[in-house]
Amino acid sequence: MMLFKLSVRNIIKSIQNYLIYFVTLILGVAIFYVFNALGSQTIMLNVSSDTHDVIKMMNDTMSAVSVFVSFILGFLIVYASAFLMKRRKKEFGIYMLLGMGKSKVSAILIIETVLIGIVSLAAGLLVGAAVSQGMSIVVANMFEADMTRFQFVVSGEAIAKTIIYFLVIYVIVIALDIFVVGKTRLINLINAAKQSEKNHAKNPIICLIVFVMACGLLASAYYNVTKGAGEIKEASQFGVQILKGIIGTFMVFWSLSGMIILVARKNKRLYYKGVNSFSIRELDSRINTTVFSGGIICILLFFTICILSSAMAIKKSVNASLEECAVKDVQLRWYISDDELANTDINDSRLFENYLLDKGVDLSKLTSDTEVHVYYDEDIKRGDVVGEAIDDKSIDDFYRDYLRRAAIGAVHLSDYNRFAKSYGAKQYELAEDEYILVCDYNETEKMFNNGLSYGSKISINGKEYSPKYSVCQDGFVEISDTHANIGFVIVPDDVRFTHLESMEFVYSADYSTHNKSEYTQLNKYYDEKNIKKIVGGKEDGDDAESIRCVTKQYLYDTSVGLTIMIIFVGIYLGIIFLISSAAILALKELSEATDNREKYKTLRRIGVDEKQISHSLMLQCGMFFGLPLLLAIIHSIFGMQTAMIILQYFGHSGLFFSILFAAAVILVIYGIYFFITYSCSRKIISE
Amino acid sequence: MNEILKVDDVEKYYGNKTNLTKAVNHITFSLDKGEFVGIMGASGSGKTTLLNCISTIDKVTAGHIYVDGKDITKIKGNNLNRFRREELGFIFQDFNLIDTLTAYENIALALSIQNVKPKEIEKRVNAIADKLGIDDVLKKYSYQMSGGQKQRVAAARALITNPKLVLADEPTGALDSKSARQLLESMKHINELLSATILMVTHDAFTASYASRVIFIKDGKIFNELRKGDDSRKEFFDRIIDVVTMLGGSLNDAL
Repeated sequence: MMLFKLSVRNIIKSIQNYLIYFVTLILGVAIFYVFNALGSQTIMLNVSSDTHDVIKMMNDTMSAVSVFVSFILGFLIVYASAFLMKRRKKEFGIYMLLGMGKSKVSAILIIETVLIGIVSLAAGLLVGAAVSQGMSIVVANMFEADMTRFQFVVSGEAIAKTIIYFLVIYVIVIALDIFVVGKTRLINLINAAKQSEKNHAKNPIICLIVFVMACGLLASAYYNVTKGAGEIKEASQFGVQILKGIIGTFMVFWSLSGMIILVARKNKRLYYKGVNSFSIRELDSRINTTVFSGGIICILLFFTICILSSAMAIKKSVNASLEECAVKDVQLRWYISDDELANTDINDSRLFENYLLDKGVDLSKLTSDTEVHVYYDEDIKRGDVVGEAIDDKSIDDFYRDYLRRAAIGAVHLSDYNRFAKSYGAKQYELAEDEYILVCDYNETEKMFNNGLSYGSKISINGKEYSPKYSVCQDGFVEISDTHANIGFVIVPDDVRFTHLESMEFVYSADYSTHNKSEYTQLNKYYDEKNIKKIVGGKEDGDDAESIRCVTKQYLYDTSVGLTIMIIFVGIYLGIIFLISSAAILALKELSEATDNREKYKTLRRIGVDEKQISHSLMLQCGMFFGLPLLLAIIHSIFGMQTAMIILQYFGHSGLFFSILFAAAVILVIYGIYFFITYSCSRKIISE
Repeated sequence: MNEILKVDDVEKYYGNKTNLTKAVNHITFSLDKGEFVGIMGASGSGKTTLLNCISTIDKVTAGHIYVDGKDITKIKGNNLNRFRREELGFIFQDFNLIDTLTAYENIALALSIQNVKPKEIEKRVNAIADKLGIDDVLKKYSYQMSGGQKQRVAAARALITNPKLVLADEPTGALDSKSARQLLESMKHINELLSATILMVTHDAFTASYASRVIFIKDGKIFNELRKGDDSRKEFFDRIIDVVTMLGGSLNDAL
C-alpha cells in the first residue's frame, strides 16, 4: 500500500514530464483503436456488396499495417519510458540509500506503469470511440453510402486488439525498467543528476564544409527526382536519390549547430541584443546533441507530408477520373468472334439493343441510349498506327510482336459522335480519307503520339487513310473508373470491313430516374450477374458468357473503395510517424528545461525580465520543433512532384488542396505537442 | 561618504503560526560607497536569507532596505528585474556561468540585456577582462576553465555593469585555496580601483579577512561587528578567529 501511494504521488509530482508521455499513449491507443474499428464502423453502412468486399480488404490491410504500427509505437513508448527513467535516477538512488531493495524499487515502477497503462488505455479507448464515430461519417461520405441507419458503434474486437497490443508493449516497458534498475549501481544513481552532458562545440569551418556538401547532395537529389526524373528508369536509381537525401539530411543536422553560430555571430547587432546570445546558444547545443534524432524526425516528417498529401491527391484524382470516365449510368457490352459474325447482320445499327430486348432485358427505364459497334479488322493492326515508331527502343520484342498481330478497334464516325454527344463530349468530322486515333491511356498514348508524328497511314480494303490529328484525341467508348482506353480509330461511315476478326457492341444509357430508391433498384437490376441470368436463362449460361454489364455505381464503389483504403493507410501511418517525431522532440525539450533550471535562475538574478525569458524559451522551442519541419517541407516540395510522377496523377489540380490537408493535420498534432512542451517547460523553469 | 545600502530593522519569518522560524530577526546595518563588507555566520544563521532579501529575490516580512536611498522593498514586478539588472551585480558560490556560452558571451550578456551596443560591449568586456586577468580565457567555455577562472569571469559579469552594489554569496566556496586567494585579491583590487561596493556572505574566516568590515550573524541577529581599520590582513584574520571562537562551536563546524 505504501508503494502504491508512493507511485501515485510520483506520477502526480512529475506530471510535467509525464504529460507528454500520457498524451502520446492516449493518442497512440486512440488511433490504434480508430483504424482497427473501421470495419465495425462501416458494416452498418448501407452500401453495395462490392463495397463490402472492399471494406473487408480494407480491414485485412489495416490489421497488417497495425502490426507495423505497433512496432513503431512500441519503440516510441519504450524510448519515452526509458527517458523518464533516466530523469528519475536520483529519486531511485535515494530510495535505495534508505535501504529499499531493488525488488521494491522495481515494484514501484511496475505499479506506476500499470497505473499509467490502465489510465491511458481507458482514456485512449474513450477518445478513440468518440473519434471513430466521426470517422464513420467520413467513411460514409467517401463511399457515398446513406447514413440513415447511423448508430453509435463500439467495436469489441478492436478494443480487445488494442488492449492486447498495448499490454504487450507495457510488459516490455516493465521488463526493461526492471532490467535497468537491476543493472544500476547506487553511486551512479545518486550522481546521475550531476552528470551533465558536455557540450563539445564543433569546428565551424568543418561544419561549413559539411553543410555545403550536404546542400550539394540534396540539390543533386532534388534535381534528379524532378527535372532529371526522365533519366530514372529503375526503382534502384530512385533509391539512390532517396539515400542521398537521407545522408544529406543527417549531414545538415550535423553541421547545423556550427552553421547557426557562424551565421549568428556575424550579425553582432542581433547576437548581442537582449538574451539572443543565450537563446541561440541553447538552441544550438540542443541541435548539437540531437543530430541523430533530428535527422530521423525530419525524414519521418517528410514521409508524413508525402503520405498524407499523396493520399489526398489520389482521392482527388480518382474522383476526377471517375467524373471524366464513368459518364453513363449503365453500359452493356457484347463480344462476338468471327464464327458467330457469320450469322449476324452487322449493318443493323440497333442489333445489340434488339438482341437484349429479345432476350427479355428491360430497357424501358433507360434514356439517351446509344449503341456503338467496334470492328476488329485484320486490315488494321495496332502496329500500323504506331508506324515507324514501332522500332523504338522503348518497345520490347514481345510487345512489338503483339502490336504487329493484334487488330485495333475501329468505330464509325457517326456511332462515336452519337455516343460522345450523349454525354456532352467533343464530336468530330472526317474527310473521306482521314482517321482519328482515340486513346487516353497514358503509356499507350505516348507510343501512339510517337507514331502519329510520322503520319502513319492505315489501309482498309486497299484504301489508305491518313491521321487527321498528329496526336491522340481523348475519348473512349467503354465507361471506366480511370483513363484506360488503349486506343481505337474513328473512320468515315462509308468504310466497310471485310476481314473482321471480332466485334464488340457497346450499348450505353442513363437511367430515366434519379429517385434514390429507384436508382438503387436499377443498379441491382443491371448487376452483371443478374443481366447474365436474364440473357442466359440461367446464371453464367453459355449465351451470356460474352455479355458484360457495368454501372456507374459499380465503378464508383470499387475504385473509391480502393482509394479510401490507400487514404486510410496513409493517414494511419502519417499520424503515427507524426506522433513519434513530435513526442521525441517534446521529451528532449522538456528534459533540457529540467536541466536548465539553474541557468534560468541565473538569468533572473542578473535581472532578465520574465517576458524576455518566455520569449527566449518560445524561440528555442519554436526553432527546435520548426527546423526539422522546415527541412522536411523543403524535401517534400521536391518529393511530392516525384510521388505524383510515380503515381501518374500529375496534371490534376488536387495537389494544392492535398498539401493544405496534410499541413492542417501536421499543424494540429505538432501544435498540440509544441503547446504542451512550451507550457510545461515554462512551468519547469519557473519553479 | 554616501550610504549605498541601508538595511533597516529587517525581519524575515518562515512557516506558519504554530511553527515560526525567524530567519532574519531585526537586523539593521548600512554600507557606504566603496566599502567591502563581509557577513559571517554558520549555516542556518540567516545570512543567505538576508542576502536574498537584499537582492530582491526574497521578500522581507517587515522592515525596509534602501539601495542608494531607494526603498527596494516597495519595488514590484518588472521594475525589480530592472533594478537587479542595473543596480546589482551577483557572484555565486557555484559561478552560475551559462555553459553554452563562452566567457566573453557570459560577461556580455549582462550588458546586452541592458541594450548596450555591441561595440560598447566589446570595449567594456575587454577592459574588465584586463583588470581581472582573464583576457586569455574569453573564448573558452566554462568546461574548459578552472574554478578560479570561472569565478573571475563571474566577477567580471557582476562588475561590468558598474553596479551600485555587488552581492557575493560564498564566492570562494567551490574554489581551492590558491584560486580563492587569487579571486579575493581581484575583488579587493576592483573594490579599491573602481570603488565598487561589495557585500560578501561567507562562513570562511580567511575569505572574510579580505573585507574592510565583518558583520557576524547568529540565529538571525547581529552578534558582533569588526572593522579592519589599519590592521594588516593577518591581524584582522586573527581578530575574526577570536570572534568565531567566541561564537562557539557552531561556526567551527562550518570551518
